[in-house]
Formats: sequence, C-alpha cells, structure tokens
Amino acid sequence: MSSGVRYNGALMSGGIARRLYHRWSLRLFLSELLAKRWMEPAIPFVLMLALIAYFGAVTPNYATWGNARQLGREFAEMGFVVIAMALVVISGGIDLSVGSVFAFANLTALGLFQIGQLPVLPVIAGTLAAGAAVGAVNGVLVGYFKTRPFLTTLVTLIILRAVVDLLSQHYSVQLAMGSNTSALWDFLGGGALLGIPSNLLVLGIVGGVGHVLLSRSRPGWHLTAIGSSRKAARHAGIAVESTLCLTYVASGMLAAAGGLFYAARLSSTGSDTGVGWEVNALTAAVLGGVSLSGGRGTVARAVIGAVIVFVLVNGLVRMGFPGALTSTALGAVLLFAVGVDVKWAKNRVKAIQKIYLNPTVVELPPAPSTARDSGTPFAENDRLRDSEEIGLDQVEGPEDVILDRQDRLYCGTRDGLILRFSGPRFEQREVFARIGGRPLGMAFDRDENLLVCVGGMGLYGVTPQGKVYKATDETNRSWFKLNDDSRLRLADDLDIAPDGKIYFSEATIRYEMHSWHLDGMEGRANGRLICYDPATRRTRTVIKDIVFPNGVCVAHDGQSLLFASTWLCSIFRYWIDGPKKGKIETLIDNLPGYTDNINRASDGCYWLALVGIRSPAFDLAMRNPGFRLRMVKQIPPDEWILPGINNGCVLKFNEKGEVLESLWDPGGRKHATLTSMREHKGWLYLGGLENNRIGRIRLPDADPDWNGFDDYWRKGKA
Amino acid sequence: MLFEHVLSDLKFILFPEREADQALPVMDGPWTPNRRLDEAQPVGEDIPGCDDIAAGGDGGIFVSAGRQVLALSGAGLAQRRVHATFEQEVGALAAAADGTLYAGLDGAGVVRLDPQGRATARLQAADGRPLRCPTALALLPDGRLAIAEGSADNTAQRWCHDLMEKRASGRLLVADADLSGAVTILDGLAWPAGLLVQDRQLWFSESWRHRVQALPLPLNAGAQPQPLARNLPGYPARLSPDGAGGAWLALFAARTHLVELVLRERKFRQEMLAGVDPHFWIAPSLHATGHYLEPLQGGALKKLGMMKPWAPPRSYGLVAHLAADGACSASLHSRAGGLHHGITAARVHGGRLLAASKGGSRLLDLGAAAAPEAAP
Repeated sequence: MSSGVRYNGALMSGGIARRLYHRWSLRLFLSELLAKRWMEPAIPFVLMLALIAYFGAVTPNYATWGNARQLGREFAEMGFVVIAMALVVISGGIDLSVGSVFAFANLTALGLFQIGQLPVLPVIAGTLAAGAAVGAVNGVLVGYFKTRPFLTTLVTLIILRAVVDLLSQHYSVQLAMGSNTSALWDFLGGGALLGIPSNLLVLGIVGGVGHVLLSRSRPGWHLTAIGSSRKAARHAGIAVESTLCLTYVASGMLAAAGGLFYAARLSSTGSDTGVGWEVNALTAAVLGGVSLSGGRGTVARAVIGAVIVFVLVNGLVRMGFPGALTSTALGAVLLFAVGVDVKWAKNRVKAIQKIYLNPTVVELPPAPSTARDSGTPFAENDRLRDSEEIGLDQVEGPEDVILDRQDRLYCGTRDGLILRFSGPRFEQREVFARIGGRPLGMAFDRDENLLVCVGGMGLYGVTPQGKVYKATDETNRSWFKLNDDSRLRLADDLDIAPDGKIYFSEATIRYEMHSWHLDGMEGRANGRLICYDPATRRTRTVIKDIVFPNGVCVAHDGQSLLFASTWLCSIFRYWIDGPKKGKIETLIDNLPGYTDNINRASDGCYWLALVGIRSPAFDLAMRNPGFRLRMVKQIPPDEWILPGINNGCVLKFNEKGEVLESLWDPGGRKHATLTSMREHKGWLYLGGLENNRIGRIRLPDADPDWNGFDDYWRKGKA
Repeated sequence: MLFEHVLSDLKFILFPEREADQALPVMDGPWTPNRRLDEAQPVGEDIPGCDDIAAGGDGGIFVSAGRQVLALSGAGLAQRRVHATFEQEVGALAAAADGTLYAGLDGAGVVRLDPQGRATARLQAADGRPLRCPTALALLPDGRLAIAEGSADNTAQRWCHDLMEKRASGRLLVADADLSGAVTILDGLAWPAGLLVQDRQLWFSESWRHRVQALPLPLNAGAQPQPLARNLPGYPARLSPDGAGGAWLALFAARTHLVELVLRERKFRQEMLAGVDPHFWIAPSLHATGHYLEPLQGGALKKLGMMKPWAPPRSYGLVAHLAADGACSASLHSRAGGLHHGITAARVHGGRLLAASKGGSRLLDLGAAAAPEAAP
C-alpha cells in the first residue's frame, strides 16, 4: 500500500526547485549560525577586516610585508595589555592600572637589565614578578577586602604612575648609560621567528592558551561565572575571593609582559610610556565583545578588539590626523561599541527565536475514512471505552508501559520516576527508580534490566534491584551540521535486537522534550535512529534525517526493525540482518493518524498506537508552511492548531504491513493522547503521554500465556 | 499576491492603531468568564434549533425553532404549542402589541402572521434584490418594521460560510406594517444580526465587524450610524431591551486568535473552503462536538484526563449587558467544555432573563433580570 513516501519526508511532487526550496532553508542555516557562541563577535570581526581593508587601500605602503611586521611588533605590546584588561572585565571588575603596570614593568626590566646587569632570564622573571606583585595588591583588596575594582585600581594607577616618574627621574642617567647587551634581549626586542616578530609570537601563544583556559577549563568557567553573578558563583561553591585575586595577579603579569617587550624594543623610559593605555585597552575589550557587565567574553574577542583599536589609531595617525582628533574618534567608537554591545546582547536570543522555527511542506494524500460505517479496518468503534483503570490519578503521563516476568507493571511519569504496580489488580504502587528527565519508551534486556529512553537525558538502564545506570547520552557528531548533534536531546523509544544491540529513536535534535510539538509545526526530518552496543559501549547513528521517528520494534524474526514516523503517519522497516541488511523500506504509509509506539502481538502481528487522528484542517496546515510560520509568530501557543491528539486509537498490523483491526476511544474520554500499548498474558495495557491512568482491556483471542520478555529472550528455550 | 504578507506586516508597523481595533480583546473586567450560563435552568424540554424569542400576547413568549414557531405560556412557560409551521427554517421574530407576529424565513424572506398563526403577507425582495437571509426584525415606533438581512450571498444557515468568505453584503431595510414598500437604509453591512429600538435610536449589531452601532430615528436613507460598542470579544447577534435604556446582547460564538489568523490568511482560507468539510473548518461553531476531526488547539489538549475550561473555545456561550452608552457592564458565560453554547437571543420576560442556546438546543432561564450595576 506504499505510495512512495520517504522517511525523510522528501517531497515527491513539484519540480526540483520546489523540492530543494522546502528541503534546504537559508533561514534554518542562519538561525543555527546565530545560535553559535562564536558568532557573538561577528560584528567586531567584520569591522576589523573592513578597517584593515580600508587603511590598506588608502594608506600608501600599508599592505606590505615589512609594514605588517612592524605593525605586528608594535601591536603585540598593546595586545598583552588588552588581554590583561579583558580578563578582569570578564570577572566583573575593571583594571585601570594596566597602563601604569606596563610603564612600571618597562622601568623594572630596564633597571634590572642595565643597572642590575642581570642576565635576561632573571630579568624576565623579575619583571613578571613585579607585575604580579602589583596585581596581587589589587587582587587582595578587591577579592578579599571587597573594595570597588574601579577605585582600587584607580589608586594603584596613580600611585604607580608617581613611583614610575620618581624612579625614572632618579635613574635616568644610569639607564641611559647602560651598556649591557644580550642576544636574547635583542631577540625579544627585534627578533623574529619564521618572519613573525618574537613578541607577536609570544602573544599568540599566550592568547591561544589563555583562550582555551578561559573558555574550556574549570578556572576559566569559574572566572566567567563570577563575572556573571558573584553571589550565584558563591552559592555554587566557587572560591570567589581567591579566583578574583588570581585574576588580578594574571592581569598584572600580562601587562608586565607587554612592558617587558616594550623595554626590549625601545630601551627608553619616556614619561608618557603607557599613559592612557587603560582607556585604549578598555575600548578594545568592549569593541571585541567583552561585556562591561562581566561574565561574557573571550581572549579571542579581546584580541579582535585590540586589532580594531590599534589599526584605527595607527591609521588615523598615518593619515595625519592630530592626536586630539584621534582620541575623539576613539571615544566615539567606544560609545558606539557600548551601545551595540547592549542592544545585541539583549536581542540576539530574541532574533534567533524569531527565525529558529522553519516549517516545511508535509504532503499527505487524503486520509482513509475512519467513519463507523466505512468498512475500513480503521472504522471507529468503542472497544477501548470499557478499559479497566490502573493507577487512576496515581500516575502522571505514562508514555510507555511494560510488564516483567512476575506480571508487575512499569511506567515512566512526567516527573522523572519509574513506577511499578503489582498485585492481582495492580493496586500496589511503588517508586521503582528515580531517573529524572522525561522517561519515555522502555524495554527489558536479556538480563532483565529495564532500558529506558529518557527525554532530555538519553538512554538509561535500571537493574532489577532498581539501580539506575547510564547506557549512553551521546552519539557521533555529524559532519556539516552547525548544531552540535552529538548529545541526545529527545530519545524516544527503543527495542533490543537478538544480538543485544539497542536501537532507539531520537525524535528530534532541534527541540527539547517540553516543546516537541514545535517539531510538528516544523515538520522537518530532524530525528534519527541510533544504535547502542552494550558489548562495546559504543553509540552510532544508524539513520539520519527521519521525520520524527517514534516507536521502534524489532520484528518477530529479529532480522529487521520497524520504526514509526509520526508526522508522516507511516511505518518503515530497516533491515538489521539477513540478505537485505542496511536497506530501508516503507511498510505502511498514509495512515489516518499519527504513529507512535509499536510493539509485538502474540499472534505474530504488531500493535501500533495512533497518538492522534489527522484532522483535515491540520493536514491542510501541514501543506502550508507559510501559514504555520505566521501562526507560530502571530498567535500564542495555546491557540495553535495541533494534530488531533484528543483521541485514543490502537491498530494491529501484520508482517506485510496490512492493517487488520483498530480499537478506539473516540474523543479520548479515557485514553486521550494514547501513545503506547503492551500485550501481556491475554491483556492489552495502554499508556498515554498526558494521561492520569493506565488502562487495560482483555484480548479474548490472544494467547493467555504470551508475554513480551519470554518472546524476546526465552524463545525456543522453554 | 507575492508580497501580501510583507504588506500586511508593513501596515501593522506603520498604522498600529488600525490594527489595534482588530486585535482580539482579552475577556476581563465586565467580560470576566463565569459559569452563569452553565448553571442556568433549562425551560422545559430541549428545543432543538431554538433561535429567537419574542414576547407573546397572553403573557407567554414565541420561540422560533427549526421550521416551527412555538408558543410557550403559563406558569414557568410550561405549556407549549406549535403556533405556525413553515417550509423553511424560522429565524428572527418580532411581535406587535396586537398579536401580529413577524417571522424571518431562511431563504424566503419575511412573513406576517395573524394572531392565529396564518400568513397574511410576505416580503421576498426589496429594492430589486431578493431578500433571502433575514436575521433580525424590530418594530419601529411608527409601526413600520425594521429588517436586518445578514447577507445577499448566503442564507442564515450558512452563516459560517459567510464569515469565512469574508462577505459584507448585508442590508438594513425598513418596510411598512403590511410588508409593502420596503426600502434599503444601509447596505454593505457585515452580517447585521440584531436590532433594537431604543428611545430615539435603532441599535443594530454587525457580527463580522464585532460591533454594535446606532442609527437615529426616524430612519431615513443616508443616515450615518454612530458606534456604540466595538471590537467585542465575540460575534454579536440579537439585541433586546433591558428596560433601563441599555440592552442584552447575545453573542453566538467567541472570537479566537486562530480564526482571526485564518481570516487574515487568504490562500489558506480559500483552500480550506474548497477542500475541507465545513464541519471541520477552522471556524467558530454554535456547538463544538469535540470530534477528533475538528481542529484541535494547543490549550484544548486533554491533560491528565481533562480539558481546561480556559481552552480556546470552538463554541462558546456568551450574553452581555450593554449600558445605555453601549459599554459592557456584565456578562454571562459558558466556557469550553460547557453545554449552553451558541446563544442566539436573550430577552427579558416577566422580570426574568431568557436565552436561546441554539448550540445546546435549550431555552435557558437565567433568573431575575435586574440590570447589573457592576461587573459580577
């Protein structure tokens, strides 16, 4: 009965342009691009390139190798100071003393080298130590004594500047007379490796290490957390005082490194060394996207900002602008950057939200009739109306139900529990396990461990003793996808092959459990089928790009896997063994409702839950992506048209994909949003995603001894 | 049109106040939902298709229902008899003091009945146009009859088509007491569905524009209507006097965001009208069945075995009291999941407020009808 529907929902009708248009979406790409953290400094990055291009074009001899090297050497010193400033700003403070520390380090380095006549390595150590000492003063005051960073570092700035002036006057003659030389010293000041100036090289290394440390290491995260909220960081157990103190120490050392290279390059103690650098550094950091309010920023962004400021100042000077005008321009740029910083940070998430959802066309043929007198196997009836209730008002949302060999009934709930009902009429309720997340599909493995797909977490297991363990929560990341899809977002249903491999569906990689219906609004092939092998503990994606894969069931012969695609109202078969291994076939399509879990029946057939029935108006909406998009944008979620899931319906189909019969609770009086059913010893047990009960009905013609566990794991052994 | 939606977005940005008039109002203040319609007692047996209520001669009332006009009388209106039977569905009613009754027949104009229920005159066309969709009737102080024609394109039964086709072809007519000399007073109305003669005004409701307006009396062509109530949260239908200068207004369905959206979506709406069974349209209804083929809205999803009463309503019960200046002062509701939906008429009789719930097939007794002072 196949009409050629594909599991990825690829359109069958229309020209190639229409099909491509609905399959690939520029908006989709853009929304995922904007959501990346590294897109935050996109604007400064483009500005940097534009400035370089502009000055390269208008300044003679600008874009030459020699000039670039010279500029790079000058830039490196400023780069250190900007990173020093950025670190402190990210921690939620400010370090105005960076310029003074720079000058102080310059003087210290020259003093140690020329007056002290020390070798270069001790000079380096001493200079960095001097910077660290000044930083430590700031750090102790700000971190432990909780003084205001602005005032504290302002005081340091003034005192240190006075000290530098006094000392440089006092020692100016001796410094000028200095005659100590060293090859390493000259290399620091003017050497190059592979054509790259030595100080730029060191800046690159320090910047790279700093970037990784700040964005991908525990101390870096602590620092960012403190910057976001000092109080919250303290509550989270972060050692706020010492981390802050060390941040200022690092800042002092970085500024001192800048001063060291400056000393080596110029060997001069001019009174204006480092004057006003704190403003330049602050401008650069903010321009690069380091937020002044703290908690947001990286070293790379600071460097981007530094390049912008450096190129701007340098370019304006070269074009002959007077110094005052250059400062004014810099101030204007700072003002602009702060404004953009505020607006962009505030609205980026909103902008992404506005374009994240990208509906596409889902074209289904007219649904088969479900009318009572239609004569189809789908004809509506009341066979679920008289179901017995289990755990009425004691469960919240048993998406899946399963029974063990001792006839005990298990279900997951929306509050993250696995409940167990036992006793002749299941009157005894106990909490079997607490997993968290949203437990969905379940299956028993050979050792009677209960495997559970947990929405928001991944694939988990519970031992017969009730001990929870993680099976897997990630799979291989796919190439050419902007969204990191390695983490499992919405593991939905699973089944276990005879060889012990666990196959499970992940309904969507673009939405979370609480917004699964948004995936329906989108109708894209966002889901996948994943295999976890407990023997090797490896997880890999088996089929990518499936439209909302939901129920998974290993066929009776163990050679193939049936999986449901909810929005396509179809069942597909994936061969995992035998001659057709690896092939995917359409088993049933164009069902009158939305397919959910699939499970084995005792007579060699399969049970299928239809979570909802296709309503003609919703079918029409699925063919009109523009309508759905505007609906999502213009009206509140409670008003959106949804698939008709206020209904209960279970189908039975055979190995050939022929639907044999249906069991209904029209309008869902007892079993709205019916998502699963499980046959066990002559009864059919019913679960529902949003229901407050489990139901069961007797199956008069079923094998009264058949149960799932024995069928899977004891076949031919009894 | 390719840029239809871009243009509408632009309009929204450039002329926000125009859109504000269309924005769906929130039901709060005097519109705060309650259960007063659900708690109302039905008057006697169910009356399938009950539509309009008019005062009867002998202390009873007339109720139009299906193809009949019923006369209800006696204590508690317990006695019921058929006053007249027609070939068509009967809708609007208006009773004169002398026992004459005017009735609107769907697709067949207006008929004048003598006190014995015999037809004595008919009006089937006016101003060279057939009169097929009479929706409301009112007797003017000068003895003439005001007639609201809902639409020139659809009969009253097809009101939902008329809404979803976005028609505005209704008329306001006036005819002599013997139904001769009918002339058009106002044309191009979007489903006028209620008429009420006040002191020196004729109030009329316009369903698809969600408003009530007033014309000065005596009527003459070219008079400009004055707005009384606008941007109502439901589709207004019949009006009746409250005895203190105000009015009772029946609203036969609530507006919802989804329907308003579909009304803005030309292409989607046309496809829906062409290809979907009208029972399952995204459209208001007098009586939602909860059938699984009806469109389901997010808030109506059954959770833990129940649907919330604040779910977006496909059908709704709503009666509002308008003060003399047209402002709403109180309202009676039957929310999603309730029974007494699709109120097409509300009228005070013998000091009690009665309402015809066409969706619930019942005549409701809403208790003593003192004009409310403030919001309940």
